[in-house]
Amino acid sequence: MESAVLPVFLFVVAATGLAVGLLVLSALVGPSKNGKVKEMPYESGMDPIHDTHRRFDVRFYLVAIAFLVFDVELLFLYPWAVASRNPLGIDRAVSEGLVESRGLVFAEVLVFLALLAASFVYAWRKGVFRWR
Amino acid sequence: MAEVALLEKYLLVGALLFGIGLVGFFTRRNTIVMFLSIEMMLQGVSVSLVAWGRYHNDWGGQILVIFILTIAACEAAIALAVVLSLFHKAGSLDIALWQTLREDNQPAFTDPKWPEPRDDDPVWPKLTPAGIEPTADPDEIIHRMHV
Amino acid sequence: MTSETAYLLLPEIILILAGTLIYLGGAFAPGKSAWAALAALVILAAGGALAQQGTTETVQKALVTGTISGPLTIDWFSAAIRYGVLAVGLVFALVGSRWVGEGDQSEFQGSLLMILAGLMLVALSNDLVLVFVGLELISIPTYVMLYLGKGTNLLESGTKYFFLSLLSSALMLYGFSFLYGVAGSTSLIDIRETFANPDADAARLMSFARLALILIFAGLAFRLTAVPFHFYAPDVYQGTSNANAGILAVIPKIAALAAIVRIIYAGMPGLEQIGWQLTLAVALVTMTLGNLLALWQTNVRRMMAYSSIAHAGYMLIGLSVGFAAAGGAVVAEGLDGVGATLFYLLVYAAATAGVFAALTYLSGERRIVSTLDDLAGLSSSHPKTSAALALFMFSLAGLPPLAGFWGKFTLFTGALSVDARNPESGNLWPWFVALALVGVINAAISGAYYLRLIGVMYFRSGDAAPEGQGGAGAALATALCALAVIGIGAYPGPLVEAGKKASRAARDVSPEMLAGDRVPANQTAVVKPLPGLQKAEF
Repeated sequence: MESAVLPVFLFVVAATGLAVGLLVLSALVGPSKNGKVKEMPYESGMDPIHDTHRRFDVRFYLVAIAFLVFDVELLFLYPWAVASRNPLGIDRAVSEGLVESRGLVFAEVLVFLALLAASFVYAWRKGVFRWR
Repeated sequence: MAEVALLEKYLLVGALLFGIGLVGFFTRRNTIVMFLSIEMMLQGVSVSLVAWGRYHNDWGGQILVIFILTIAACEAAIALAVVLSLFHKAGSLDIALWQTLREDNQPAFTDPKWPEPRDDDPVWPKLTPAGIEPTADPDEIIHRMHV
Repeated sequence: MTSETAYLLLPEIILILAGTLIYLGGAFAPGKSAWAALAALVILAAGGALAQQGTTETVQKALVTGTISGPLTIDWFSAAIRYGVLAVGLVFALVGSRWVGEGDQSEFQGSLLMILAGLMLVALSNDLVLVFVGLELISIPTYVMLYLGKGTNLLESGTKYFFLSLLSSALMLYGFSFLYGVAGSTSLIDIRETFANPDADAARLMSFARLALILIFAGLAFRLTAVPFHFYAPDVYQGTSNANAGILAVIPKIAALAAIVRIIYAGMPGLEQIGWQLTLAVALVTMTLGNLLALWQTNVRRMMAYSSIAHAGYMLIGLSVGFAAAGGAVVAEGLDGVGATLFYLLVYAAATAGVFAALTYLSGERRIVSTLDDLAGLSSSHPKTSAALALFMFSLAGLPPLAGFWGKFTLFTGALSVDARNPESGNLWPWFVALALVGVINAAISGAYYLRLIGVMYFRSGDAAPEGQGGAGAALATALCALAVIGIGAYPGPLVEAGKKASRAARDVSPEMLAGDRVPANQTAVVKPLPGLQKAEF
C-alpha cells in the first residue's frame, strides 16, 4: 500500500522542491533590475492594455483555421480507438457479421488520415505555414 | 416516468439554445456574432439529439452529433476566412455595409445610430521591441497595407 | 461497412479521390486548363463505373426489388439521380474549362467533383447521417466555389449564401433531431417502418413528427429556393460569376428534391395530408412571386434567379400531386406527380445550365455578360450562341416542340387528374384544378420576360459585341444542352417513363425490405448499440 503511494509522494515533493528552489535560486543569484516594462503584466508578447480595435496579424488567422480543422477532424479517431481494443467493439462486430473484417475498418481509418495529410500538403503548398 | 421527465428537460434546453441562436442570428449585425448564433443553434440540435438517443437507448443520435461537430468546425474555418476578407475590405464587421446587391429601386439601409469616432483615445504603455528586427520583404509591405 | 458497400460507392469514391488530387495538383501547378479536361474524364469514368455496376447481378436484383444495402439504397430513384447528376456535372466541368480569373481553376474543378459526389450520396442514402453529410458535401465546396472566378461582387454574394445556407442547415438538422426522436433510429427504412406501423410510444410522439416535417421542409426549401426561403437567390446569382450561378441554380435543387423525396415523401408515411397542403401552398406562392418579380429585372442573372424560383414552384406542383396520391387521392393511371417533377427537373437543368454556359461563353477578360443591354444585337455578332439562348428561353417558357413544354404538360395534367375521374371518392380536385390553373397563368406570364430577352438579342442593336472568350468547352456545353433540349422535346416518352419508375421505386416498399431479410451487414452495425457497451456507457 505504502509503496503504491510512494512514487506519487516523491513526485509531489520533487515538483514542489524544483519550483520553490528555482524561485529562491533566481532571487539569490540573479541580477535584480526593475523597469517599467518588466513590471507590466505578462500577456504572451502583446501589450497588456491597448485599444481593442487593434488588428492581429493575418498569419495568426491562417494558422488558426488550419488548426481548427485538423483538431476537430481527429474527433473521428476517438470512437475508433475505443472500439478497436475493446472486446465489445470491433471484434464483436466482426464476429456478428456486422463488419467484414478488422482490416477493412483499419483501411477506412487510413483513408481518413491520408485525406487529412493531403489537406496538410495543400495548406503547405499554399504557404499557410510560411511565417514571413 | 423519470425517463420522460429527463427527456423533457433536455429538449427544453435544446429548444432554448436553438431559439436564442435563431433570435441572435436575426437581430445581430456583427458577422462573428451571427456565426456564433448559428453555432448555438447547432448545439441546441446536438443537445436534443443526445437526449432522444438517451431516451431510445440508441447511439445513432450521438453519431449524428459527432458529424455535426466536425462539419461545424469546417464551417467555422470557412467563416473565419469569410469574416477576415470582409473585414479587410470594409474595415468593419458590420454586415449592413454589404448591400450593393439589391433590387434596383430599393433604398439602401442606413443606420441612424452610427457611433462617432472618439478623439480622446487614451495612451497606454507599450512593450519595448526586443530580439532581432526582421528584414522587410517589399511584397509583404504591400500585402500588409491591405491588411 | 463491407467491401460490397465500398464497391457500390465506387463512382463517389472515384469523384472524391480525383477531387482531392486535383486540389493537390493545383497547389503544385496552378492555372492549367488540363484540370478541366481531367475533371471531365473523371466524371466520364465515374459514369463508366456506375454503368459497370448496373450490369452486376447484385445491382440488377436490387433495382428490381429496391434492396437496401447497409446505409445505401440501390433502386431506380438513386440510379436516375446519379446518372442525371453526372450529366449535369460534365456540362459544368466544360463550362469552367477556360478560366477567367486568378488561376484557381483546379479549386473550381475539385470543388465541382466533391459537390457531385455529395449529391449522389444524398440520392443514395438510407440514413439521416449520410443525408446530412451528403448535403454538407454539396454546401461546403459551394462556399469555396462562390469566392472563385470573376464576378461583379463575389465577396458579398458568397457571404450572403454562406450565412443563409448555415441557417437552413441548422433548421433542417433540428427537424432531423425530432424525426430521430419519433422513430428512435437514423435509418430511413426503420423510420418508414415506424411511421407506417407506429407503436404506442411513437404514436404518442407523433406531434413531433409534424414539427420535424415542417422544419426539414423549411431547411430544404432554402436549397430549392421556394418562398419564403428564396430571397437570397437574386442577390447571390447577380454578384457571382456565370458558371457559379449556373451551378447554384441547378445542383442544390436536385439535392433538395432528392432529400424531400427520400425523407418526407418516402420516409414519413401517414403525414401525406400536411405534405400536400404545405407543398401546394408553397407552390402557388413560389411560382407567382418568382414570375412577377422576374418581369422587372434588367440583369440577366437576376432574372434567371427569379426564373429558377418560379421553376421551383412548378416542381412543387408535382410533389403536391405525389403527396395527395400517396395519401389516397385518385390520380389518373400513368400520371405520377413525383415522376413528373423528376422529369421536369431534368428539363429545367438542361435549359438553365445551357443559359449559363452560353453566358460564360460570351464573357471575356474585360467584361462578364450581366445585363440585358450586354446581349443587345447578339444575333449579328454571335448568331449560333444567340440561337441557342433563344432555344433555352423557349424551352423555359414551355413552348410546344421543346422539352420545357413536355415538362409542364406532365405536371399540369397530373394536377388536373387528382380525384377527377370519380369525384365521389375524393374532394381534393378543386385545390388541384386551381393549382394547375395558376400554373398555366404563370407559364403565360413567364413568356413575357423570356421573350423579352429574345427580343433584345434579335431586334435591338448593341454598341459593343460581347467578347466571346469563354472557350471551346463552354461552347461545347452550350451545344450539349441545346441538343438535350431538342432531343427531350422530340422523344420525351422514355424519360417520362424513367421518372415514373424512379418515383415508384422511392415510395413503394418491397416485401423483402419489410421482412427484415436484408443484406447481413447492414446499418445496425453503427446505429443499434451492442447491449454490453450500452450498459457501460449510459
